Amino acid sequence: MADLTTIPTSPLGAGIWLAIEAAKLIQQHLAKKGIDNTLTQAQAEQLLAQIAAGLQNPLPTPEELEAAPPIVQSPPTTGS
Amino acid sequence: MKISIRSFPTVVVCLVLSVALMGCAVQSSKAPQIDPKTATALNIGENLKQLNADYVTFFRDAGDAQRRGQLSAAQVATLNGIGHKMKIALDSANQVFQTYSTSYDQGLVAQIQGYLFDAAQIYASLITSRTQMLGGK
Repeated sequence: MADLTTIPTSPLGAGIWLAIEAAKLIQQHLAKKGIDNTLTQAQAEQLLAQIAAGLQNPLPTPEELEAAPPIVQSPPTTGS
Repeated sequence: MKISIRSFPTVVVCLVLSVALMGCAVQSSKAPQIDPKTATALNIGENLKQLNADYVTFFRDAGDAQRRGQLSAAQVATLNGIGHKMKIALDSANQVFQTYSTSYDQGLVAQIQGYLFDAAQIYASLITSRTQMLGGK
């Protein structure tokens, strides 16, 4: 997810920011295609079952999600 | 035809969502080893999973933005009003997908895609609204 604090305040700036984020998304999406096309039938079925099992139903409401504590990211580990 | 600058972010978001929804994580032509029914189910599932994650991330971020003072309570309430519609579409899609992922009933594909399209449109509206809210400060 993009850092929201970096969104420009002008409409044109925000549009350009969105276009850049869009390009990143498409790039990620295309990169993903190359990996997924190598799946075997068994792996595809396993992945499908995982996706179905991972879907939360019902989803939390917007209010519940907003009340959740922020996710604290651990600092990157450095090599020795 | 004139397109106003204010509508530009909406156009971009809609374009991205169209590409994401129409694009396929698994392409049958490049992955002939996967049964087309499984490939279709997997692509729908990937799109659904992504939209679920986008919904969760959006409202977690909205809560963080409110705590940081970037969004007012009224603005968050406006986003929540839109978000409840997205939740309804996603809950419906998730429910139908559970059945589809085991039955491969092709009659359910259009139904899930309809819910996905609704959810994606609402998500585009949420992004546009939030951008305008943050830009207006």
